[in-house]
Amino acid sequence: MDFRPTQDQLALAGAVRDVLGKHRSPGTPGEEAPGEDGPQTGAGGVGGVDVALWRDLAELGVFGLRVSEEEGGLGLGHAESVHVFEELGRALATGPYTATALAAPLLPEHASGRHRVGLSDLTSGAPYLLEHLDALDTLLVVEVVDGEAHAVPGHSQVLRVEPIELRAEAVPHPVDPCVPLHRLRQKPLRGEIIGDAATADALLREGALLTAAYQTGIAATLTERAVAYAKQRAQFGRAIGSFQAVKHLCADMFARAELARAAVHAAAVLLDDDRADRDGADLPAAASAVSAAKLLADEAAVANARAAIQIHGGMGCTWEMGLHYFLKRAWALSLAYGRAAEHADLISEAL
Amino acid sequence: MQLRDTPAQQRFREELRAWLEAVLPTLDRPPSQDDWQARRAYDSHWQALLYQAGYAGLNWPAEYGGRGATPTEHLIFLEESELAGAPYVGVNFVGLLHAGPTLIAEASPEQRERHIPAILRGDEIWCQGFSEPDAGSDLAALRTRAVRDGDHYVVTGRKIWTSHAEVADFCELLVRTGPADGPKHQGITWLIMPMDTAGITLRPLMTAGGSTEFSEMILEDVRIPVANRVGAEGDGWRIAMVTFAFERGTGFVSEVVWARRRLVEIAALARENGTWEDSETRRRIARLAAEFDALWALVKRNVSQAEHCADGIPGPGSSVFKLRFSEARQHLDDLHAEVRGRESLAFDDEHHTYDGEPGYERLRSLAYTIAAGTSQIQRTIIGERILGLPKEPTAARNAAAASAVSAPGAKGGGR
Ligand SMILES: Cc1cc2nc3c(=O)[nH]c(=O)nc-3n(C[C@H](O)[C@H](O)[C@H](O)COP(=O)(O)OP(=O)(O)OC[C@H]3O[C@@H](n4cnc5c(N)ncnc54)[C@H](O)[C@@H]3O)c2cc1C
Repeated sequence: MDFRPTQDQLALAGAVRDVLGKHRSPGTPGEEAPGEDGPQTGAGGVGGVDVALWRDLAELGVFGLRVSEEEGGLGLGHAESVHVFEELGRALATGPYTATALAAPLLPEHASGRHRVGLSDLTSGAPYLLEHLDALDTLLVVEVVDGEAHAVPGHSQVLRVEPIELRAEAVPHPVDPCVPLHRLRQKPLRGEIIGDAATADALLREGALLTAAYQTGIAATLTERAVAYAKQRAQFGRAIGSFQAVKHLCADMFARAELARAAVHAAAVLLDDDRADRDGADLPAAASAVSAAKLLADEAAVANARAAIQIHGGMGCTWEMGLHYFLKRAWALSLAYGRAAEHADLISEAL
Repeated sequence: MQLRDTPAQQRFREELRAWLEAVLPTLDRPPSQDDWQARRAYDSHWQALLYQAGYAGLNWPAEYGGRGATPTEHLIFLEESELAGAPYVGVNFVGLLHAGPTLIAEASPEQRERHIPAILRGDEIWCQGFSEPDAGSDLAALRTRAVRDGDHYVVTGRKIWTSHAEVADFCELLVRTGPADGPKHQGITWLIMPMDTAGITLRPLMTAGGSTEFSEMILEDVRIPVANRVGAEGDGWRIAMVTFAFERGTGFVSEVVWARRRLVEIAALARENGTWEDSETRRRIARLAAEFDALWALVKRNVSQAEHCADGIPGPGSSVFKLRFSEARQHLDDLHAEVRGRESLAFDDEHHTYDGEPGYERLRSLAYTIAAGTSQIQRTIIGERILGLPKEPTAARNAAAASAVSAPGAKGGGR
């Protein structure tokens, strides 16, 4: 056992961080939301994919991370993916990153990241809200197989749908101003079946893992921002971070992020073991670990966003300070790839 | 980044499993928890068995009779022992987790020779005389006086919450040798106090769970040889701090395994008695399972780090573990009571072993957020030592600041 991140994993995370640092991030104080091809949304911000950032990250190989080297990918595992996605979360990178990375091993022609893939989980029924629809080249839909009643594992399939064939209306004001939303009038009926229930379950599981890693990034970066502010802002003649009420909020933020990261890393390692069919590989245990990671990371991201806003006082509530972007993204992601209750149910089945 | 055993670790695990499987059935039932002499005998017997099999002081250096095992092997030992239902360290807690490591790090060769093998064999029981009625979280405020008289220190004062004092042979005692009004972290000295010395009076205190596991210890002119001092006079605070990290780092580790197993039992009980049908109860159980799994992952992260750093001392990251584990542990016992319903009001433990009895565990868990540094103190440690937030003003720091900058018009901190 050596549960420390390897030098290569840290280097990969560092390379991603460097690229992200060269682009504007919606959470940075005073920055407007970036993006070139999204609709105008929010208070003067522009939503959608930052195309230049997408291109740079694609060049780094982040979409083909788990695609074999013969097929043009990097041939790495989940343990590497979660390092990348934590960085994306820290920078609040906006776009269908998760879905495109998930689709790459399935559709290796997408490993380069030249095409953007969306993924929509429609197993729980309406509302049918799609993210980044205008920016997508392909849409994967996870649907309940006709005639099956339940949104439970083993009853779904994966469809590949052409985005332009969908009848959808833009939502005028998505809560997360960086992520354009469309509402489908009806479920996509036409599409090519490209995966069975096992594929569907694996996609949703891996999506939950990457989302948990992204949420951990949000939780971690907000801890750092809150701590930096608490050191610098003075009231009553002392730094507010010396007040125990504030210090203890920061300590809880740190503990939440650390625990979420440990859970995410454990789940990634267990999923890799399962995929490589190593001794002791145990898919149910890995699946429970993913659910645990998603639960804790969602909690950490949302709670830390609230705490960061609280620690910034009135400034925390302003559009300018940018903290609201993190809270909104954390809310949205906690409803993606399984809500807390769904993951709790998955865990409880295994107990 | 991986969680698999190496071939050597796998071998170690298998050997240990086989040994536990053979030896555990030979143990008697644990004694009543009120019978301290029997508990001492039981725990010492277990320690002697570990010693004979080469598992005592697993992570201690081989030159001191330990096995020089890596932190990971130690973790495997704790995990497998817990899974097999082996006894806890019990009354050997202070000796093995606190006094022993301190002596290895700081004591003279004679002191080591005298105590370390005896601790390892289970022949010598230790207790910890740190806390005082007026020095708990603020341990450095301790006032028990030690006055030099020839080859002895003459010690007078009061200690409290001294666990296992009634059965202990020795006490790691923190005393004040410096002036009472000096800087409080200086002038503290670490002494080895034989518990049969004249002048020690024990007054047992009872916990909310009905256990008399700790005492108030009154010291009146207790003569302790100067040769029993560990480290330099006045250096006791630093020496005590070295071992706190060990206590927080590994003291609770096997309990995560216990808690996770307990959760499976609670789930089984809930399925049996119908409370499982309540989705809120079910999800709270699942939420706690996620928490304990993550805590276990955090332990592995901390252990992997300790394995690859020079001193092997757990870092302040153990405060995160202590904080979250102790709170989760209390949720666990509450949830158990909820699933048991009115059954949780009845103690049905005719032998008073209290071993795992849920009502007793629930009361015992009250101490988790208090002992070994309260949750508030852990949050302050995380805030100041990990995150680097400024320290709170204290009376001493205020005075220092006031004399340093007596700037006119400075505000008084809003009080
Ligand atoms: C089961 C058990 C076994 C123990 N065994 C031993 C033993 O063997 N040997 C030994 O020496 N001691 C032992 N202790 C004592 C233990 O270390 C102390 O109880 C602990 O350090 C807290 O001190 P206190 O009880 O004086 O509480 P206090 O320090 O008086 O704290 C009371 C409350 O005030 C809060 N508080 C105090 N200071 C601050 C601050 N600066 N900021 C914010 N909040 C603060 C605390 O968090 C707590 O909520 C044991 C305790 C228990 C419960």
